[in-house]
Amino acid sequence: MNVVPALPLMIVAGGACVALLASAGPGGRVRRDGPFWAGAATLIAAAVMSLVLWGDRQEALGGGYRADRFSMLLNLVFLAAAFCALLFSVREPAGVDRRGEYISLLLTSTAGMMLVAGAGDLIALFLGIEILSVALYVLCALEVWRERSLEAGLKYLIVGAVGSSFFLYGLAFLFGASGSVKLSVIGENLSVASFTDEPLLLVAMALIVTGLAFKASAVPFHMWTPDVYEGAPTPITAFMATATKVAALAAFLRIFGGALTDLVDTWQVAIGVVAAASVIVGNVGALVQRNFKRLLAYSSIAQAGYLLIGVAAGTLQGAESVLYYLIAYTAMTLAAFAVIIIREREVEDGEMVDALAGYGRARPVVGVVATVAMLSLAGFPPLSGFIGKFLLFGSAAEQGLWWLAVIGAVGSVVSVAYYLRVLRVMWFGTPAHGGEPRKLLTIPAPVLITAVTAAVAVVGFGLGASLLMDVCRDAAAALLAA
Amino acid sequence: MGERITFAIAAAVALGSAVGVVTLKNPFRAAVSLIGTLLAVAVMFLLLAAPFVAAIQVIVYAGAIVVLFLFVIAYLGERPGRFEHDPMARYEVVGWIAVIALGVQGFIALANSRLAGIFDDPKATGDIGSPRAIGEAFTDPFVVSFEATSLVLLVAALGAVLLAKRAVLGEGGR
Amino acid sequence: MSDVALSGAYLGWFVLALPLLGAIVLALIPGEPSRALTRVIGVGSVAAAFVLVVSLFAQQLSNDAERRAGTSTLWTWVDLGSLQVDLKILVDPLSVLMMLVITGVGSLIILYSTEYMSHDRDYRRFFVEMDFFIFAMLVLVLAANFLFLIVGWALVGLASYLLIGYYHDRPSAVAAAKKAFVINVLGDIGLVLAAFLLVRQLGTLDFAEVFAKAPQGLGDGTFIAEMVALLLFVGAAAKSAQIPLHTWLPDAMEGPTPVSALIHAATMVTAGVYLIVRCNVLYELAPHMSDAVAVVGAVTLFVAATIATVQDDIKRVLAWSTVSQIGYMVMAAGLGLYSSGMFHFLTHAFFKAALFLAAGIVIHALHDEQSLDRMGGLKNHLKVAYFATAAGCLAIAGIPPFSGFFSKDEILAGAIEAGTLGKVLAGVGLVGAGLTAFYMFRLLFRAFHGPEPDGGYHETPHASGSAMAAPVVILAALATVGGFIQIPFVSHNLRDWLEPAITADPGIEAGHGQETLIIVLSLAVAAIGIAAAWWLFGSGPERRLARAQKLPRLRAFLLDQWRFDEVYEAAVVQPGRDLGDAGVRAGERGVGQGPVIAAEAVTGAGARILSRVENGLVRTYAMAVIAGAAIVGAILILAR
Repeated sequence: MNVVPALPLMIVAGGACVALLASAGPGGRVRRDGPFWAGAATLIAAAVMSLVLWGDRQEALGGGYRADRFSMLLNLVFLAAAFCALLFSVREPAGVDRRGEYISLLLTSTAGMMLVAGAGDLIALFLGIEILSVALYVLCALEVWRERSLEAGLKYLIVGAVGSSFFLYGLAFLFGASGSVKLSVIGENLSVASFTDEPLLLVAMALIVTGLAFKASAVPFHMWTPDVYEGAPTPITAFMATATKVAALAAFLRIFGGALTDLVDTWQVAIGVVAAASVIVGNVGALVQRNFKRLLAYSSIAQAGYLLIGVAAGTLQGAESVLYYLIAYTAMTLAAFAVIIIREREVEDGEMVDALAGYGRARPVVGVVATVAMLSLAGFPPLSGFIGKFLLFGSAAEQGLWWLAVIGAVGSVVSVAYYLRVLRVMWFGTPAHGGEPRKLLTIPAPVLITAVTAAVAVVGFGLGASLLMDVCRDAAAALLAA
Repeated sequence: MGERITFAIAAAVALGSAVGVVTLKNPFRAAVSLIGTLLAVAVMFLLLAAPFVAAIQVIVYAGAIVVLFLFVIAYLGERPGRFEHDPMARYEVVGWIAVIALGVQGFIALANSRLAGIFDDPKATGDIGSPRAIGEAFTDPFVVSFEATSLVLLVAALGAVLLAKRAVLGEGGR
Repeated sequence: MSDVALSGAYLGWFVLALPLLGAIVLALIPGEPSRALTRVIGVGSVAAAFVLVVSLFAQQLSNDAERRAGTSTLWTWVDLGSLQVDLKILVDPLSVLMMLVITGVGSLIILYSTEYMSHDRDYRRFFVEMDFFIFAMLVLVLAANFLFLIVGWALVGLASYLLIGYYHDRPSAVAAAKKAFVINVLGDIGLVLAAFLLVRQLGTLDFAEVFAKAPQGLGDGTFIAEMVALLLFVGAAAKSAQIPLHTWLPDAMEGPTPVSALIHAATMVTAGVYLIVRCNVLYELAPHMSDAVAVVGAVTLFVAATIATVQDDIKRVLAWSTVSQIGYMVMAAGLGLYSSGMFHFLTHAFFKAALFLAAGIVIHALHDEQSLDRMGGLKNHLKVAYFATAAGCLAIAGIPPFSGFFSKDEILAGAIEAGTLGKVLAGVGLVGAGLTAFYMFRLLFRAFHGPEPDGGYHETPHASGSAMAAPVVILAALATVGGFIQIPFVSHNLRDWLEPAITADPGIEAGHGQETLIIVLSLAVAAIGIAAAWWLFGSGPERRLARAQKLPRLRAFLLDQWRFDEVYEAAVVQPGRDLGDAGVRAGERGVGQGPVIAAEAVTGAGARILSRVENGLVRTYAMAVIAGAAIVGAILILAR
């Protein structure tokens, strides 16, 4: 049995245990700082291992896990998001007195995501989603003393269970229809037989779309998103908004873009409708939010819609665009959440948009980071958000899905309104009490560095898009490799 | 023919008990009703020539897990749930429509399916349900899933401990 | 057009870099930089860019016509395998003409602002934003492919948003900025969708390749070709404030006056004209859309001219006048008179910038007073402004030998040759010319002639310093003589110059008879307009008032600006706001308020349901998941 290809996954899973043990370790210093360093080292080691494994597909452990360019690229995204969440969590209340558990859960969730991206069969795929979800249920509720945090965890758990059960049921039907749980064999079996109108396969697809769209928070499976994003500790929200969405989209690509790719005519419209609905509802919903976290929650619903437009295109170019946009989206969302995290520690209502009034003038660096993030999320050229949307909508248009391209484009226009509102408040707003924004504390260096790095990445991925796109194209090609 | 009758009975019991779980107001009764579903599913496993899974189903689910539920319910005592006024009660009909629509879709799909084994008699192929076959599956093709399951359990245990402990702390102020 | 044709094309990158660097350096200086330093960097970076452009221009002049265009590539920007887009600029006669105006007129205007903005607290921010705008505008005209063009397009929108909303503590300025931005973004979408069509049909976004492949790939007069032209025009109309996307421009006068001069007279608003001229090949393939463009231009020039006749705010008169003049350019471009459109762009940049800056002197002298009612008799106090305005008025009214005469007549004379539609539109243009003469001289007479308001000014209006006067004088001089580049019957230098860029020029040329006819007619209508203005406004305020009371309904209608804003408000803005409100209340916890607020919404039942759905109850969420699954299943079955 070949273990090596699964090493990144195993490193992270092992690191989760080490971080947990370190918090029970000897000596105060080890207990205090051990989990953090264990977590950081784990993530870096796993990232290095993922880079080493960059190449053609290798199957690990009887084919349950597959290391190829697709899974390794996404590994890097998950690890980067987790690393940022780790840095965000320095001195975060939820992370302070339960460091070991906190970091251990974060790492476990990351491991689940990596399993999703590299799963060789449906069972591993489902388990990956469960691992990432269960860890997040707990992380959401970790600020037990805040009622909203508890509520967020509970809501996510209950509705998440519904979503997961739909997904599992769908996978069971897919197994029944194709006669295999192995993703590669499913593709083969279905391309041999004429399955395009097998009704049970349609049921399978409907249920799988439901389950995955729930995790990606696409409409109409999105309702938990604003509540949970608002209630969860902000570093966790940042992690959820980025890594979970990447994982869900990875599963979409693995199943629909990979295994079911020959049936594209069958599922294209359904995913397209979900995408369009997400773009519309997400953008309209975000228009009047006063809470920045809720605003980003609605915005992330719309972003899920944009991404699904690329999935619906059903082409290699579509998959490539989705990967590119996922990476860009991760960078800009992390930058946006960094701003909330910085402000949240200074004032009680720091997650409200109004709390940022005049903040850009008081703190130009944070202001610029927020500006880059918001403009990129709005799809403003030449930032990476623009290139990504251009590619996504373009790949839909290429397939004649003009309605999707137009809805996506119009949605972006609407989104400009609310992203711009944040910037207006930030640069030109006057704090409610007049004068300078209240209480400026020193920003923890890790948070600031993360924020700036993310913003630089947003610009860099935009101007140097072709470099990133080469990588994404290789990764997308791995989806279809036998 | 006998198999079909057995399956029909098991299916009816499974569905009936499941309805009982969600409709019975007394949580104790609801938990007991769950046993009916679990046992009926065990019967189905037997019909699929998977005696080992059937046994596990009885021992772990109907035995351990439901007993755990009952302990918890007994520990908490019967607290009648307080429901605030539900503003969505009027739209409950939407839920029913959705459920019925899903059911109709499933039925149509099933009726039109051309997959083998749906209208002809199901035949178990090979040795899939014996302890040996399951053991081999866990150690070779599905070892990733097997190990991943342990990760799920680890997270769940960790989370339960963490939240339970926090809840106790939370009651006495942080 | 090969890469080696114009060896200096790479200089274009430096032209781009200079204003950007200026903006960045200025923004990054810690603390509050001294005003002198701010001035040097702010003006210097653009002036240096102008010098570079002039050197490019000189190089082009010394080359033969075929070797006046060149491209320069930095690196491959987007690479999809099938589609490759480079970060690439195109330096050709057309882009150099645009750059000359942008950097030349731009540096004059920025120089002017050093004095105009001297009372402002946020001195530095103004120059950062101005330099950034110049950079954005240069990206727009230098881009060698549609994707890069879209970048410039959007950056220009952003820069104008910042500049219009410069006085951010004024709610009206913020609202105006937002309006301008939203309409501009709408235009961006038109461009993006056009780009998708081009990629799908031609597999490239590069200008040269698109124009080379278009006749085969799109076809002549096909639906696709018309669609491309339409979508491009959506972008052009939004930037160039053509009906029905014109409503942002008059509101944009909330910005400081130099901004109005730079953005809303000389550069940004002509971007749409530039786009149509640049894409002349595509428009020649879309005859119906070209006609539609010409009609939109004509309608815009007429409607805007009528509105300008009743405005009392000096800047709003000029704003509507700008909309109207761009209407001429768009009409010309739509009729295939591409070089005539560019000619009018050039002269308009001179005289409109002169007019705006002269108006700025007036506003500055009167301490931010913009109403014509509070002006009068200023010719005795503000000589420079008076002569500049007079030169501008004569130019825009088309009185020889001022520049507007040549460019406007060329458009009208060409239009007569362009079929029946052209003849009709030439008629509209002539009427517009009469209105133009009327409203401009109305402004001149009301502001500078007649008695002083309320028996004199509290403080004697102070004349401006040299930093403000010099640019105005230069621009007024250019407005006076700028038309001699191209003289009817004698020369068409500009047309020859632009020929390499306008490959699809249908070659419409007015005969001598038509040319003479137009000259006579337009002089006649201009004279009528000026005479009417004198009769109504040349005298004291009493007679003005008495006469202005005539036709109150028409006046009210014109004052409401043909009620475009009201229609948009009712049709788009309000429902959108209601829906948004309802949707968002829905997101708030607790349902108590939801129904109340939603009930107010026009969208009624739909919004009410929406607001109840998101109520924070888990079982609703679960129900939505089940319903969603049913819907997805239904779609899968139906769409099979």
